[in-house]
Amino acid sequence: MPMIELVDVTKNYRTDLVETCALDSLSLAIEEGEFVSVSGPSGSGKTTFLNVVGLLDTFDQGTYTIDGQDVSKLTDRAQSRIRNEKIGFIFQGFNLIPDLDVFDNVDVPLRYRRLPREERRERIVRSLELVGLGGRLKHLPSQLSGGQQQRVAIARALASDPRLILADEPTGNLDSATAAEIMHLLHEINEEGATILMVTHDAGCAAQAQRQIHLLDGRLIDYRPTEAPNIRLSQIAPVS
Amino acid sequence: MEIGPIFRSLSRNKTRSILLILEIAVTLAIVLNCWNLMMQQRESLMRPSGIDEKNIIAVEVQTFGPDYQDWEYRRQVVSRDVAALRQLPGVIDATPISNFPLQGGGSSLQAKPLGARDTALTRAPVYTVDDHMLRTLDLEIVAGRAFEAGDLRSEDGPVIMNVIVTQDLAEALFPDGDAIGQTIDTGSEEWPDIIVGVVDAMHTPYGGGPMESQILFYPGFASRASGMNYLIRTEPAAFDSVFSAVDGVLLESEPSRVVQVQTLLEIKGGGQVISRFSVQVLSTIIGLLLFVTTLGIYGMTSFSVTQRTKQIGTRRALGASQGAILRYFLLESLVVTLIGSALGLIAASGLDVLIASQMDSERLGPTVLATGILLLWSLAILATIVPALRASKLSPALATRTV
Repeated sequence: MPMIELVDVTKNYRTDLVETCALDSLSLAIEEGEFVSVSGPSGSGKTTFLNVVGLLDTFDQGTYTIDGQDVSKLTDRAQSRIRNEKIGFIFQGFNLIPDLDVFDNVDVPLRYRRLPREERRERIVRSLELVGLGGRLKHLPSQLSGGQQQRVAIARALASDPRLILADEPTGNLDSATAAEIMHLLHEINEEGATILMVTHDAGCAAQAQRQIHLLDGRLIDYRPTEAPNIRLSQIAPVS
Repeated sequence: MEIGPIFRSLSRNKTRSILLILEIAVTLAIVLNCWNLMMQQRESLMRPSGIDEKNIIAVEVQTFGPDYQDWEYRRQVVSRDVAALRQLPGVIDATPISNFPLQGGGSSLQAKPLGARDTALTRAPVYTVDDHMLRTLDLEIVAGRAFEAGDLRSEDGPVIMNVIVTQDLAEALFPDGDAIGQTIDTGSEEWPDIIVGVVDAMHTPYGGGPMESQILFYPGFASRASGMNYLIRTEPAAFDSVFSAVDGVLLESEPSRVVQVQTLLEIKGGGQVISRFSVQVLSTIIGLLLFVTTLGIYGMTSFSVTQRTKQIGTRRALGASQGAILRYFLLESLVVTLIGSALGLIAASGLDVLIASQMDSERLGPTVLATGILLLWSLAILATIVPALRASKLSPALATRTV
């Protein structure tokens, strides 16, 4: 059973004057444990694709199943629960809450899951230690570098133990050295078993994925399920 | 519950939070005290006077000429007037009176038990009436006796007087015991007064406070060189005929006078004008303050939602349902309102002490405090619900927008 499966998914944006097709009968399956990159020029539908897969936006036609569950007719509450329990998000702009310190930022999705205080604390500390920020619990996002902020965002995504991680240009706002660190971290997470779907402009980052998907005008280009084995962590450029 | 993160987030946005907290605190302090004063005024307006006000005619007589400078002459005129008025068919009784009750003011003095410290002084409206006062006003003696003819002063000048007090004044002056026979000092230890009677409840508007029912009656032929006042109580059926006949009776014996006849209810209406105006002003202040504060809370929440659009999208992406976003903003507003209310209560207590030191008013009670706080909280929720609902409807897709 694929981790995610889209069949003929179509998404249109309408204004009074214009209708734009952002996803055009898109069909795609991603198996559990894959690391897939999605690339394409601006306006190709990458973000719309990520939004639909992440249940951040609706679609007009087709079916979408995540972990075997058809999500097209779920209530807001049920979709929120899937986002909270099965999906971890990593955003280009980190999307940390500026008024909350690192600990509270990582705590946000855990509170929505109503986990006990002690369990939340264990998960937060463990995920922050995993990304190398165990000593920055009380720092505000503004007191961290861009790379550190993205690490906090990754810790926030990991704290929920998601089966699927959706990364929207995770290295887009970072210098190349920091970008390499983040990619290394994503590969570590993938090696632990999480499925990763990464939207990126960066050909270098895209090439590090197990499978690359190209979008153009809302359609997949040269799509084929890859048989290639995962790129191992040892094959990723070492972090300086 | 996200109270911890909300509290920490607010503490990191001090300017925005503090301004609103101060607004709520100041509003609560003023609203509670205005409310308290307004309720007292309303209570005063609604309170029964204890006298048969519907069947009493108030007569004001203006006199002219040198004869009225003489106290003895005036005493004879007053005696003749009330005797003639009591003869009218349907009249139950009549009394001269120094000034009309229920007119919202008059004369008052400070009284204390003879020899007591000045801290025991109690302010009381005072009326000079004759020995027909009880029947005219329809008051009951509950202790001691009514005025007798011998109590009325027979000459002008300072004397030791027998007085009648209301039960509230008796209890204020002598909380531990029987007031009958007790001596009180109303400004001169040399000429004190002796309480000979206590009447049941009477209340006259006098700007609010307990003094309105702590009333003192002096015996005498109340008159001034410029005139005198009479109260006439009639049988209900005879009210109109007596009303029409009064000026004729009075002018028949002394034509060179001006007689103005009113009902006591008309006097009461005039006396309540200031109280009614005060109630209107206080309720306007309360309404305006609550409106402005509600607007402030609405404005802050609305601004906060607009400012945190991306954050709301992120929270939604991380698993917050629409209900969770709604609860977050309501809780945030409640935290601010609670802190503001706590400070407001302290400020309200301070203002209450200040007002009590300047006015003879009742202190803030638990009912006013609870009502005021519940009202403010309800308005805070009302002001938050619209922008909070707007926030809850925001799409989680906002998390990926580069705005």
